[in-house]
This record gives sequence, structure tokens and C-alpha cells, in this order.
Amino acid sequence: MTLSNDRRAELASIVGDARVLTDRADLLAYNADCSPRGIILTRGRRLEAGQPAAVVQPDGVDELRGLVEWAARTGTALVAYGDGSGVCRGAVGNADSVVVDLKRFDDILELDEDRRSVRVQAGVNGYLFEREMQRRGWTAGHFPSSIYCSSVGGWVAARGAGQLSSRYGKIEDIVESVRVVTGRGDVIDTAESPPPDPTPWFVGSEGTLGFITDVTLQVEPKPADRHYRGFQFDDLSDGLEAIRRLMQSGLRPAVVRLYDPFDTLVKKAPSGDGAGTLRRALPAALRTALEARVDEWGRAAFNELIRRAGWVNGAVDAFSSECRLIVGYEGHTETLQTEAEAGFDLLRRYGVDLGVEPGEEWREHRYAVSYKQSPVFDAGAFVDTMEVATSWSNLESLYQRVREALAPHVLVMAHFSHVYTAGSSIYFTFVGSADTAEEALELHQTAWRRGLDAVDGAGGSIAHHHGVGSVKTPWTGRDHRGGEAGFRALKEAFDPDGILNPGKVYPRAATEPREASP
Amino acid sequence: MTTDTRDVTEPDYWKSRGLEPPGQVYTPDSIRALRRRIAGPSESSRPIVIVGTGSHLRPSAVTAEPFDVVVTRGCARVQSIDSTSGTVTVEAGICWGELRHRLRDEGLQFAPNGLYPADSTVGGLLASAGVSGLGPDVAAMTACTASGRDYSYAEAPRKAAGPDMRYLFIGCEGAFGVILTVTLALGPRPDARLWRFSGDALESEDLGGVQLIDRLADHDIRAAWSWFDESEGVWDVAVHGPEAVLERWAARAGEVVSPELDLEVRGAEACRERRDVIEAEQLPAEAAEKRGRSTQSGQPEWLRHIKNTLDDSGVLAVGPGAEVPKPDSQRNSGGDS
Repeated sequence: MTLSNDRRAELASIVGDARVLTDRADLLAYNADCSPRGIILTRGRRLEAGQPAAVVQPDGVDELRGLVEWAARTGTALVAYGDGSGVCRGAVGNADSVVVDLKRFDDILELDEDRRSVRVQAGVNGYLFEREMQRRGWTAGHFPSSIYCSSVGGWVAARGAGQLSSRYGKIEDIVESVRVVTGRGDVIDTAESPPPDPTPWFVGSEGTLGFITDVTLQVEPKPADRHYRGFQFDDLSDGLEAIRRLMQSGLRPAVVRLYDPFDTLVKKAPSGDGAGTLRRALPAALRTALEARVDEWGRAAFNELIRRAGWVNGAVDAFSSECRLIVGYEGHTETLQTEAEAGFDLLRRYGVDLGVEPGEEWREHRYAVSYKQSPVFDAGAFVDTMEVATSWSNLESLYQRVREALAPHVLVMAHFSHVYTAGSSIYFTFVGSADTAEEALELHQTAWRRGLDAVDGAGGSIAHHHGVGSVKTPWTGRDHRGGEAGFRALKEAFDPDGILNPGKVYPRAATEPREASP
Repeated sequence: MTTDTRDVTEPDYWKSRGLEPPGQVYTPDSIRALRRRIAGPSESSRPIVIVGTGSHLRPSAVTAEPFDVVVTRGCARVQSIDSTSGTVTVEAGICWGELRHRLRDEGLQFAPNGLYPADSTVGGLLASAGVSGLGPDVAAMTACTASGRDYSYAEAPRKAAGPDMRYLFIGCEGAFGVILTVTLALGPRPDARLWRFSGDALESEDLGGVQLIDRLADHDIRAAWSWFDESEGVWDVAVHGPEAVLERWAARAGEVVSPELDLEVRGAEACRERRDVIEAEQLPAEAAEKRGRSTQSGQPEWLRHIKNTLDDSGVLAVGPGAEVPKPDSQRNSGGDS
């Protein structure tokens, strides 16, 4: 849809002419989030996919309400957009939609030190927000690897998790309340709303029920002390047993990241006298390739390697079993050291203590992973991630079933990085390669379909902290069987015209005017 | 004259709460029967009020009269215990105190955060508005709506699969449907201590329960729960952890909270016994007393829209109603999670 002059003028009357963007360059900037599928499309010159009719940049609740009223009157879909770090195409529209960029909601409104909470507008960049909190001596405790390029509102809308989730919890554990403008144009502050508390419906709603304008988060005093170490286990089962025992002992660490054998191989050189040629060469090649220090020859070899995914995955299974763990404690006083030492002692019963260096090295590069993927695309391949969750007793089975489902098609590795007393997430990374963008899209779709079917078959949850977007919508109903009726009830309550990000979270309903996913 | 009986099958139970007795009282003894009673064909035109033991029912949660009553207390089985995951799956009509004792017999316990009345059903605790502190510990759940739709939340400690639909049942007073089964995360089984603080400084305004918990948390001392006993002038704090950690915490606790207070450290058994007394006696009494105190509040429009979609025939006559309980005393706290 090309926005008519009349429609453009109507939008300009709401947000101001300078805040209605319709130039091709501006629209291109909003045609994708950080989802690998979008990157494949962009690199394949499929630039029309996800390109909205317009982008608007409102400032304040009144302008948002004006946009909602306009969208309901014109039957136009509105897609909320923060900093664009999503990886499931949740903030991507199409030619019939208008993207609503919330970056002008950019104030930290009130830090209440007595109540230990902060009210912050949704468009505030995550890194700038946390930096300011720490400058004032506090922390919200939410440190996603995307912190440099994600917004506070995005954290909440996608129900994200930070790297220190074992200490602070996921964002839903940190959020106290939200303020939203619904698809009816109502402004709801959940802190002032009578029961039932609607906050859990808006957290994770991905812009389908309302625009989150403000968020109230718990804060804690900024940690003054930290203790990180690395451990190594003979195999994955030992590593999983160790971290389960750790979490169920009550010795709550801040960071737990257990890497499977493939991920461990990629992150370190093999150890031990028996390290054979393949065992040395494979990880070195993979590291080089994944960091994309490859020339033209190397590029061809890299893609050839990936296309033999079944063989490579099998070789890793055959030649490697060691798993590395990064564990860290952060806190305020010397009591932390006692707790950390008790935790480290427990882990030493199951594996080898590698000392502080691996932990500190991880800390130093902890936000780098999000920026390491472009070179893989430069080399002609793609990389994506799939974060799922389940209980401890089902964890290794879920891991194996997903890995078996993906292994014939893509390189697949995983780590276990958000752990709880009752279970854990599994963060699969998969790498594929194809000759053309169309073939890459097909392979990418195959990987997702096989992977999430396996998750469903194994009784796991399809999403731990990336949200659903449009990528996972066919599986949402399996995660919450019967939940779609509830979602439709919430849509009726908060977005009866279906103008808010249609086609996201659940597949498009027959009553919704259009689908905003390509 | 009516007696304040706690038996929901007795007319006096309802009269003492200012309500007309129900036309019928149903007590299904299986999940299937419970589900059929809620979502199946109705034998009367009266809407249904769902109750567990009924011990904490707020009259204002009843939104229409006359009504029939469905009691969930007959659905109280422990379906399974997963000791690896540390979870227990129960029918929602089981009482909190009974479940805790059953688990104790198995050498298990819940995550120690929070205190709940022993005579409340698990489903009732979850459904009650403002008492949903157990929500984050719900790893899986099944429920059914008034219109007969089944709901099942796949088991996981946390997820990000859209809005959290569990909260159409948790905290909603049964307005949209009934919780059938629940899988709850159990807690670690480390050592425990009961810290008993006493002294005149407890009366100080700046030493309320929340502030005390915050002071401990600032020093990485995580209280599982706390309880201020006004009659005895003592503040009990439960802490859990390995012995070395507990010793370190205890060495710092007095100084951290207030050097003016006396601190007596008791062992794990004392901690367990104190919790039993609070949950079995003191919390139910407090909850009953609180039932009479409420503040008026409007019902949001969006609630009606959700109700109309999930219960379009008006099967259920319960909900958050037009009044809400006053906030709990700041003295007593479930600690952190």
C-alpha cells in the first residue's frame, strides 16, 4: 500500500509532518528487525518484504491515542517498534501497515529508592537505562546480550531474559507494572487497576494488545562484588547434573552458562593428549569460519562444510564430549564470597575447575555474540538461534530430540544459559548454507519447522525469551493448548478492531483485517 | 441468628457472609466430574460459584444471586512427584497445609518463599486476587473455561510464548474458569534457621517488615519469609542455605538489621514448627479478619469484555467483584523469590 497524500496528511496532523517517514530509505530502515530471516531477505535483495507504508514517531500518550483512533477508522495495522533488536519478526510490518517507532518515549521518569523501583518510558535504550541506574547506585538486573540495541519496552513486550537471570529473574520477574495505550485508545496503568492484575497479559504481548508507554521495574543496589569461574565436565549429562544440583541447593548464582560439546569446541581449543587431527582441525575451522576470517577459498570451504551438516554434527558427537561451564556470582558484600565458594565447591564434585580466566573472559565479551553473526552471512551462510525450555527431567531428552531433528540440515550447537530450580532453557544455535536466497529461506524454514515440531513432540516450550513474533506463531497454540481462545478474549477486550500487530503471537484470526507478517 | 460455620455445604456459611444459601451444592470427586460440572449441561439456570474450602471466600467475589456452588475440595489428589525436576502435580482442590505435609513425608518441600493459610486450597490460593505469589512457581497448569474450552500450559520454568494465559485463571477469582491441576516447583532442601529478633527498636517506624527484608537483601541475605508477632513483640525471619552460608549470614544479620535488636538463632526444626503454626493458625485467623475489610473499587470495562468472550452464557457467578482486599500488613512478608 502506498500511503495516499490524504492519509499522510492525517498522520502528520497527529504526530507532526517531520515525524511521518515515507521515503524509501526510511522505510528500508524499518523493513526488518534482527531476525536472520530478515537478513536473508535483505541480502537476497528481497527489500519489499516487511516494508511498511509509513513510519511514525509519536511523542506522548495523546499522539498514540490519536494514531489508534486513526488506525481503527482507516482499518490500518499498527506495528510497535522499539530499537529493532527482535529476532522473530515481531516488530516487522508489511505494505499495509504503519510502524510506530516509540523511541521518543525516552525518559527515565522516577527512581523511588524507598520502594526500590524505577518508572521508565518504553523507548529508552536498554544500555543507556542500565548505565544511568548504575550511575545512581542501582541496577534493574536485566542484561540481555542485545542490551546495546534493545529498548526497555522491547524487553517487556517480548518477555525477555538477561544474562544474570539466575539472580534477578526474567523480565516478568522484574516488572511491577506497565502503562499501555490499548487498541480501544484507553490508557491503562496496571499499578492502579483493580484486580485482576492485567500486567502478565501485556508482558509478552508483542504489541498485539497495546502500546507499552511506561514500565515500572524493581531495582536493587548495584553489585559491588563478583566471582566468576569456568568448569569443565566429561560430558553433557555431568554438566547438567552439576547445574541442576547447584540451582536446587539454594546457592543462587547470577550467571550459569553450560555449553554443549559442539559449542564448547567452537569456544576453545581441544585439550588432552588424545586430540587427533580432526579434533584439532574441526573446531579451528569452525571458529575461523564463524568469526568469518575467511578468504574466497575459505568461504567456499566453509559453505561446503556447513552443507555437510549431518557429517559434521556426527563427527562432533563421535570425537567430543567435553562441556564447559561459566558460572558467576554477583552481589554486595563479603557474604557473597561465602555463597560463591559453596557453589564452586559443589561444582568441583562434578567437574574440573578451570579457574577465573574463562569466567572473566566471558564477562569481557558477553555482549559480543549479537555482533558476531554478520560475518557468517558475509560468508554466504546464515545463523539463527532457537531458545526453548523445559523441566530438568525432560531437558536432555528435549536437547537430543531437537538436535536430531536439526542435525541433517544445519550445524547445531547449544548452551543452557537460564536455569531455575525446576528446569532450564536451551539456546540452540544453527548454521546453514545454500546457493540462493530462496534456497536459504527454504532451508531456514525447514530448520525452524523441524526444530519446533521436535520441541512440541518432546513437551517443551517453544520460546524462553525471544518471544513469538511471526516466526513461531504456528506453534504458540501447542505451548498453550486452548490458549488461543484466551488470546482472542484479550484481543476483544483491548483491540477489538484487530489493528495492533495482527498475525503476531497467534496466527491471524479470520476477523482481523489483515496480516502484518510477510 | 447464624453461626459462622466454615462448612460451605451449610446454609449458615452463606448467611453469615450476607449471602443467600445456594440452590445446590455440588462436590465432584474427580477432575472429569469437576470439569463436566463447570462446562457441561446445566441442571439449573443458576450460575455457579466455585469454592475450595470456602475458608477465605470474600462475599463480594460472588457477582450474582441466586447461585449454585461447586466445591473443588473433592479433587485433592497428588498426581505425581518429579523429584529430578523438583515439581509436584496436584489436583487444585488439595489444601496447602495438607500438601506441604504430604511432601514433607516424601522428604520434599516447596520453595520456602511466602506463607499461605494451611486451610486454603492450592487452586483457591492461585485464583485469589492479590494472593497470587505462587504464580511464578506454577510450572504447568490445566484449566477449563466456563464455555467448555480446555486450557493447558506446557511445563516449563519460564517461557516467552506470548501473553501469560495462566493469568486468565491465576488471580481472577474464577471469573473465567476453574483451575483443574497445577504443577508447582518445589524448593531446594538446604539447611534452615529461624532468626528471632526482639527489642524495643522493632516498634520503630523505619523497621517495618519490608524494610528489614530489604536491609538483609542488600547484604545478599535472602529471607524466605518473615512474620511479626505483635503479641510477643518478636520478628521471625526464616533463612535457608548450606550451613556455611547460614553461619556467615547469622554473623552479619544482627549488625545489618539493627544493632539495637536482640537476635536469637534457632534451628531448622524450630523454623519448620514456627511456619506450621503461622500457616495453620495465625494466617487463617488474619485472613478471616481481613475478609471484613475492603475498599470499594470500580470494575474495569475490559474485564467485562473478557468475561463476555470466555463466559458468554454467564455460567460463573464469581469474579474480582467490586471490592478489593486492603493490602497486607507491611510487617509480614513472604521474602524474596
